[in-house]
Amino acid sequence: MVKKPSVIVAGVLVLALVIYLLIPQDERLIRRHLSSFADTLDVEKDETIISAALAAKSAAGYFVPDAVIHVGNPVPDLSGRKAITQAAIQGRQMLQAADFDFRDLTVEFKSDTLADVLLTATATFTTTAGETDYHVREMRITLRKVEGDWSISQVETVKTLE
Amino acid sequence: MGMTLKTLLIGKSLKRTCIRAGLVGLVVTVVCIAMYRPMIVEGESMAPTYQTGQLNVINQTAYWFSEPARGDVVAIRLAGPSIAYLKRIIALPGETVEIRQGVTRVNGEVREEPYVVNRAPWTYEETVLENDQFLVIGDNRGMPIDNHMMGKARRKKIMGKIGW
Repeated sequence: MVKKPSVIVAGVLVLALVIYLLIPQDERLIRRHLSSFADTLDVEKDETIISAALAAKSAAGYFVPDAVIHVGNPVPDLSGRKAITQAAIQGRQMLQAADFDFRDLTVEFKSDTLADVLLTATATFTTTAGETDYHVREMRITLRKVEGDWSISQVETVKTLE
Repeated sequence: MGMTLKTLLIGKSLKRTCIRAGLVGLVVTVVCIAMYRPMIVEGESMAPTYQTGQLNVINQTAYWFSEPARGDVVAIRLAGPSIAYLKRIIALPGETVEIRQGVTRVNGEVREEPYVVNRAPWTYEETVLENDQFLVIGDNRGMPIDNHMMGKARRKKIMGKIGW
Protein backbone atom coordinates (compact mmCIF):
# COMPACT_ATOMS: atom_id res chain seq x y z
CA MET A 1 0.00 0.00 0.00
CA VAL A 2 2.81 2.40 0.86
CA LYS A 3 4.52 1.77 -2.45
CA LYS A 4 1.54 2.76 -4.64
CA PRO A 5 2.13 6.54 -4.77
CA SER A 6 5.75 6.02 -5.75
CA VAL A 7 4.65 3.61 -8.51
CA ILE A 8 2.27 6.27 -9.86
CA VAL A 9 4.98 8.95 -9.74
CA ALA A 10 7.40 6.60 -11.50
CA GLY A 11 4.75 5.86 -14.15
CA VAL A 12 4.18 9.57 -14.77
CA LEU A 13 7.93 10.17 -15.06
CA VAL A 14 8.33 7.31 -17.53
CA LEU A 15 5.39 8.65 -19.58
CA ALA A 16 6.94 12.14 -19.59
CA LEU A 17 10.26 10.65 -20.72
CA VAL A 18 8.55 8.69 -23.53
CA ILE A 19 6.73 11.84 -24.73
CA TYR A 20 10.02 13.78 -24.56
CA LEU A 21 11.82 11.13 -26.58
CA LEU A 22 9.00 11.00 -29.16
CA ILE A 23 9.73 14.62 -30.13
CA PRO A 24 12.67 14.48 -32.52
CA GLN A 25 15.91 16.07 -31.37
CA ASP A 26 15.95 18.55 -34.27
CA GLU A 27 12.40 19.70 -33.51
CA ARG A 28 13.37 20.33 -29.90
CA LEU A 29 16.39 22.36 -31.06
CA ILE A 30 14.25 24.41 -33.43
CA ARG A 31 11.61 25.15 -30.78
CA ARG A 32 14.31 26.17 -28.32
CA HIS A 33 16.02 28.33 -30.96
CA LEU A 34 12.79 30.20 -31.77
CA SER A 35 11.80 30.62 -28.13
CA SER A 36 15.21 32.10 -27.38
CA PHE A 37 14.94 34.31 -30.50
CA ALA A 38 11.57 35.68 -29.31
CA ASP A 39 13.20 36.54 -25.97
CA THR A 40 15.96 38.54 -27.68
CA LEU A 41 13.32 40.63 -29.47
CA ASP A 42 11.83 41.83 -26.18
CA VAL A 43 12.53 45.46 -25.34
CA GLU A 44 12.95 46.38 -21.69
CA LYS A 45 12.02 49.81 -20.39
CA ASP A 46 14.77 52.45 -20.38
CA GLU A 47 16.94 50.58 -22.86
CA THR A 48 20.10 52.46 -23.77
CA ILE A 49 21.31 52.75 -27.36
CA ILE A 50 24.23 50.46 -26.58
CA SER A 51 22.05 47.72 -25.14
CA ALA A 52 19.68 48.18 -28.12
CA ALA A 53 22.58 47.67 -30.52
CA LEU A 54 23.80 44.61 -28.63
CA ALA A 55 20.33 43.09 -28.55
CA ALA A 56 19.84 43.79 -32.26
CA LYS A 57 23.17 42.15 -33.08
CA SER A 58 22.23 39.19 -30.90
CA ALA A 59 18.88 38.87 -32.71
CA ALA A 60 20.63 38.96 -36.09
CA GLY A 61 22.82 36.09 -34.91
CA TYR A 62 19.78 33.80 -35.08
CA PHE A 63 19.75 34.19 -38.89
CA VAL A 64 21.92 32.75 -41.65
CA PRO A 65 24.03 35.45 -43.38
CA ASP A 66 21.75 35.60 -46.45
CA ALA A 67 18.44 35.52 -44.55
CA VAL A 68 15.35 37.23 -45.96
CA ILE A 69 12.50 38.85 -44.01
CA HIS A 70 9.22 39.62 -45.73
CA VAL A 71 6.52 40.41 -43.17
CA GLY A 72 4.91 43.47 -44.75
CA ASN A 73 3.90 46.83 -43.35
CA PRO A 74 5.41 48.46 -41.27
CA VAL A 75 8.59 46.36 -41.64
CA PRO A 76 10.30 46.76 -45.05
CA ASP A 77 11.66 43.69 -46.84
CA LEU A 78 15.08 42.89 -45.40
CA SER A 79 17.90 40.85 -46.81
CA GLY A 80 21.08 39.88 -44.97
CA ARG A 81 22.22 40.13 -41.36
CA LYS A 82 23.45 43.72 -41.70
CA ALA A 83 20.06 44.99 -42.86
CA ILE A 84 18.32 42.96 -40.14
CA THR A 85 20.60 44.41 -37.45
CA GLN A 86 20.02 47.99 -38.63
CA ALA A 87 16.25 47.51 -38.82
CA ALA A 88 16.24 45.94 -35.35
CA ILE A 89 18.15 48.91 -33.88
CA GLN A 90 15.79 51.40 -35.54
CA GLY A 91 12.74 49.43 -34.42
CA ARG A 92 13.93 49.22 -30.82
CA GLN A 93 14.58 52.98 -30.69
CA MET A 94 10.93 53.63 -31.56
CA LEU A 95 9.73 51.51 -28.66
CA GLN A 96 9.63 52.01 -24.94
CA ALA A 97 8.89 48.34 -24.33
CA ALA A 98 7.96 45.25 -26.30
CA ASP A 99 7.06 41.68 -25.50
CA PHE A 100 7.16 39.00 -28.23
CA ASP A 101 5.89 35.47 -28.10
CA PHE A 102 5.58 32.58 -30.58
CA ARG A 103 2.64 30.22 -30.13
CA ASP A 104 1.13 27.15 -31.77
CA LEU A 105 4.34 26.09 -33.49
CA THR A 106 4.10 23.35 -36.11
CA VAL A 107 7.44 22.10 -37.39
CA GLU A 108 7.60 20.47 -40.83
CA PHE A 109 10.88 19.07 -42.10
CA LYS A 110 11.51 19.56 -45.82
CA SER A 111 14.82 17.68 -45.61
CA ASP A 112 17.45 16.86 -42.98
CA THR A 113 18.73 20.43 -43.16
CA LEU A 114 15.63 22.44 -43.98
CA ALA A 115 12.47 22.99 -41.90
CA ASP A 116 9.39 25.18 -42.06
CA VAL A 117 7.71 26.37 -38.87
CA LEU A 118 4.18 27.71 -38.94
CA LEU A 119 3.37 29.80 -35.86
CA THR A 120 1.39 32.67 -34.44
CA ALA A 121 3.53 35.61 -33.41
CA THR A 122 2.19 37.98 -30.79
CA ALA A 123 3.66 41.34 -29.88
CA THR A 124 2.70 43.92 -27.29
CA PHE A 125 4.36 47.27 -27.95
CA THR A 126 4.57 50.47 -25.97
CA THR A 127 5.79 53.26 -28.22
CA THR A 128 7.97 56.12 -27.01
CA ALA A 129 4.79 58.22 -27.12
CA GLY A 130 3.35 55.88 -24.48
CA GLU A 131 0.75 54.18 -26.68
CA THR A 132 0.33 50.44 -26.20
CA ASP A 133 -0.72 48.18 -29.04
CA TYR A 134 -1.20 44.45 -29.48
CA HIS A 135 -0.54 42.62 -32.76
CA VAL A 136 -0.90 39.04 -33.88
CA ARG A 137 0.28 37.52 -37.15
CA GLU A 138 0.43 34.05 -38.60
CA MET A 139 3.96 33.47 -39.85
CA ARG A 140 6.10 30.93 -41.62
CA ILE A 141 9.73 30.74 -40.55
CA THR A 142 12.15 28.65 -42.59
CA LEU A 143 15.23 27.34 -40.85
CA ARG A 144 18.40 25.87 -42.32
CA LYS A 145 20.82 23.56 -40.52
CA VAL A 146 24.35 24.81 -40.98
CA GLU A 147 27.23 22.94 -39.34
CA GLY A 148 24.88 21.29 -36.87
CA ASP A 149 23.03 24.45 -35.81
CA TRP A 150 19.61 25.60 -36.97
CA SER A 151 19.40 29.22 -38.15
CA ILE A 152 16.56 31.25 -39.62
CA SER A 153 16.81 31.67 -43.38
CA GLN A 154 13.42 33.23 -44.15
CA VAL A 155 10.54 34.89 -42.33
CA GLU A 156 7.26 35.63 -44.06
CA THR A 157 3.70 36.51 -43.11
CA VAL A 158 0.92 34.04 -43.87
CA LYS A 159 -2.37 35.65 -44.86
CA THR A 160 -4.98 34.18 -42.51
CA LEU A 161 -7.69 36.21 -44.21
CA GLU A 162 -7.23 36.35 -47.97
CA MET B 1 -23.52 17.45 12.16
CA GLY B 2 -20.04 16.68 13.41
CA MET B 3 -18.50 17.38 10.01
CA THR B 4 -15.01 18.83 10.21
CA LEU B 5 -13.43 21.14 7.63
CA LYS B 6 -11.14 18.28 6.61
CA THR B 7 -14.10 15.97 5.94
CA LEU B 8 -15.86 18.73 4.05
CA LEU B 9 -12.88 19.40 1.79
CA ILE B 10 -11.54 15.92 1.13
CA GLY B 11 -14.40 13.64 2.11
CA LYS B 12 -14.01 10.34 3.91
CA SER B 13 -11.36 9.00 1.59
CA LEU B 14 -8.52 11.10 0.20
CA LYS B 15 -7.93 8.52 -2.54
CA ARG B 16 -11.51 8.68 -3.84
CA THR B 17 -11.55 12.46 -3.67
CA CYS B 18 -8.33 12.61 -5.70
CA ILE B 19 -9.77 10.25 -8.31
CA ARG B 20 -12.98 12.31 -8.52
CA ALA B 21 -11.00 15.56 -8.79
CA GLY B 22 -8.84 14.01 -11.51
CA LEU B 23 -11.91 12.89 -13.47
CA VAL B 24 -13.52 16.33 -13.14
CA GLY B 25 -10.27 17.93 -14.31
CA LEU B 26 -10.10 15.55 -17.27
CA VAL B 27 -13.71 16.26 -18.30
CA VAL B 28 -13.19 20.03 -17.98
CA THR B 29 -10.00 19.82 -20.08
CA VAL B 30 -11.68 17.76 -22.81
CA VAL B 31 -14.71 20.08 -22.86
CA CYS B 32 -12.48 23.18 -23.09
CA ILE B 33 -10.24 21.76 -25.82
CA ALA B 34 -12.83 20.08 -28.00
CA MET B 35 -16.13 21.81 -27.30
CA TYR B 36 -16.30 25.12 -25.45
CA ARG B 37 -13.02 27.01 -25.44
CA PRO B 38 -12.87 30.03 -23.12
CA MET B 39 -11.43 33.20 -24.68
CA ILE B 40 -10.67 36.79 -23.76
CA VAL B 41 -11.41 39.49 -26.33
CA GLU B 42 -8.44 41.69 -27.26
CA GLY B 43 -8.72 44.67 -29.59
CA GLU B 44 -11.45 46.96 -30.93
CA SER B 45 -12.26 45.22 -34.21
CA MET B 46 -15.64 43.91 -32.95
CA ALA B 47 -16.66 47.00 -30.96
CA PRO B 48 -19.23 47.81 -29.75
CA THR B 49 -20.52 44.20 -29.81
CA TYR B 50 -17.43 42.85 -28.06
CA GLN B 51 -14.93 44.91 -26.07
CA THR B 52 -11.37 44.32 -24.93
CA GLY B 53 -11.18 42.23 -21.79
CA GLN B 54 -14.56 40.54 -22.21
CA LEU B 55 -14.61 36.87 -21.33
CA ASN B 56 -16.45 34.67 -23.81
CA VAL B 57 -16.53 31.16 -25.18
CA ILE B 58 -15.90 29.63 -28.61
CA ASN B 59 -18.58 27.04 -29.22
CA GLN B 60 -16.69 24.48 -31.29
CA THR B 61 -19.72 22.21 -31.51
CA ALA B 62 -21.78 24.85 -33.36
CA TYR B 63 -20.79 23.63 -36.81
CA TRP B 64 -20.63 19.89 -36.19
CA PHE B 65 -23.98 19.37 -37.87
CA SER B 66 -24.53 22.66 -39.70
CA GLU B 67 -22.55 25.21 -41.65
CA PRO B 68 -21.65 28.76 -40.54
CA ALA B 69 -24.41 31.24 -41.34
CA ARG B 70 -24.53 34.91 -42.26
CA GLY B 71 -24.44 37.11 -39.16
CA ASP B 72 -22.66 34.52 -36.99
CA VAL B 73 -19.72 35.86 -35.00
CA VAL B 74 -16.99 33.29 -35.44
CA ALA B 75 -13.47 32.55 -34.24
CA ILE B 76 -10.90 32.13 -37.00
CA ARG B 77 -7.75 30.27 -36.05
CA LEU B 78 -4.30 31.50 -36.97
CA ALA B 79 -1.46 28.93 -36.81
CA GLY B 80 -3.25 27.08 -34.02
CA PRO B 81 -6.15 27.33 -31.64
CA SER B 82 -4.64 29.47 -28.88
CA ILE B 83 -5.22 32.79 -30.71
CA ALA B 84 -8.10 33.52 -33.05
CA TYR B 85 -9.60 36.43 -34.92
CA LEU B 86 -13.13 37.35 -33.89
CA LYS B 87 -15.21 38.36 -36.94
CA ARG B 88 -18.74 38.38 -38.27
CA ILE B 89 -19.74 36.41 -41.37
CA ILE B 90 -21.02 38.82 -44.02
CA ALA B 91 -21.18 36.61 -47.12
CA LEU B 92 -21.31 32.89 -47.75
CA PRO B 93 -19.52 30.59 -50.23
CA GLY B 94 -20.50 31.25 -53.84
CA GLU B 95 -22.00 34.67 -53.12
CA THR B 96 -20.97 37.93 -54.77
CA VAL B 97 -20.14 40.69 -52.32
CA GLU B 98 -19.05 44.31 -52.53
CA ILE B 99 -18.92 47.38 -50.30
CA ARG B 100 -19.50 50.88 -51.72
CA GLN B 101 -19.39 53.98 -49.50
CA GLY B 102 -19.64 51.67 -46.51
CA VAL B 103 -22.80 49.95 -47.77
CA THR B 104 -22.57 46.17 -48.14
CA ARG B 105 -24.24 44.41 -51.07
CA VAL B 106 -24.51 40.64 -51.28
CA ASN B 107 -25.66 39.26 -54.63
CA GLY B 108 -26.63 42.83 -55.51
CA GLU B 109 -28.90 43.37 -52.50
CA VAL B 110 -28.13 45.91 -49.81
CA ARG B 111 -27.65 44.24 -46.42
CA GLU B 112 -28.97 45.85 -43.28
CA GLU B 113 -26.26 45.62 -40.66
CA PRO B 114 -27.68 46.89 -37.36
CA TYR B 115 -24.58 45.77 -35.45
CA VAL B 116 -22.41 48.32 -37.32
CA VAL B 117 -22.42 51.53 -35.28
CA ASN B 118 -19.31 53.22 -36.66
CA ARG B 119 -19.27 53.18 -40.46
CA ALA B 120 -16.51 54.74 -42.58
CA PRO B 121 -17.05 54.98 -46.38
CA TRP B 122 -15.24 51.72 -47.19
CA THR B 123 -14.82 50.34 -50.69
CA TYR B 124 -14.37 46.62 -51.26
CA GLU B 125 -14.37 45.60 -54.90
CA GLU B 126 -16.96 43.08 -56.10
CA THR B 127 -15.75 39.58 -55.30
CA VAL B 128 -17.20 36.14 -55.89
CA LEU B 129 -16.44 33.81 -52.99
CA GLU B 130 -15.10 30.34 -53.67
CA ASN B 131 -16.89 27.21 -52.47
CA ASP B 132 -15.15 27.15 -49.09
CA GLN B 133 -14.75 30.88 -48.51
CA PHE B 134 -16.67 33.20 -46.18
CA LEU B 135 -16.27 36.98 -46.13
CA VAL B 136 -15.66 38.04 -42.53
CA ILE B 137 -15.47 41.58 -41.14
CA GLY B 138 -15.43 43.10 -37.66
CA ASP B 139 -18.37 45.22 -36.49
CA ASN B 140 -16.18 48.27 -35.92
CA ARG B 141 -15.91 49.90 -39.35
CA GLY B 142 -15.07 53.39 -38.15
CA MET B 143 -11.41 53.14 -39.17
CA PRO B 144 -9.90 53.10 -42.70
CA ILE B 145 -10.37 49.71 -44.33
CA ASP B 146 -6.58 49.18 -44.53
CA ASN B 147 -6.36 49.34 -40.73
CA HIS B 148 -9.04 46.68 -40.26
CA MET B 149 -8.25 42.97 -40.44
CA MET B 150 -10.93 41.58 -42.76
CA GLY B 151 -11.19 39.27 -45.75
CA LYS B 152 -11.99 35.81 -46.98
CA ALA B 153 -11.67 32.95 -44.51
CA ARG B 154 -11.49 29.33 -45.56
CA ARG B 155 -14.00 26.98 -43.89
CA LYS B 156 -11.24 24.94 -42.23
CA LYS B 157 -10.04 28.10 -40.45
CA ILE B 158 -13.38 28.67 -38.70
CA MET B 159 -13.09 27.14 -35.22
CA GLY B 160 -16.59 27.81 -34.02
CA LYS B 161 -19.23 30.32 -33.09
CA ILE B 162 -18.96 32.80 -30.24
CA GLY B 163 -21.32 32.13 -27.36
CA TRP B 164 -23.29 29.11 -26.28
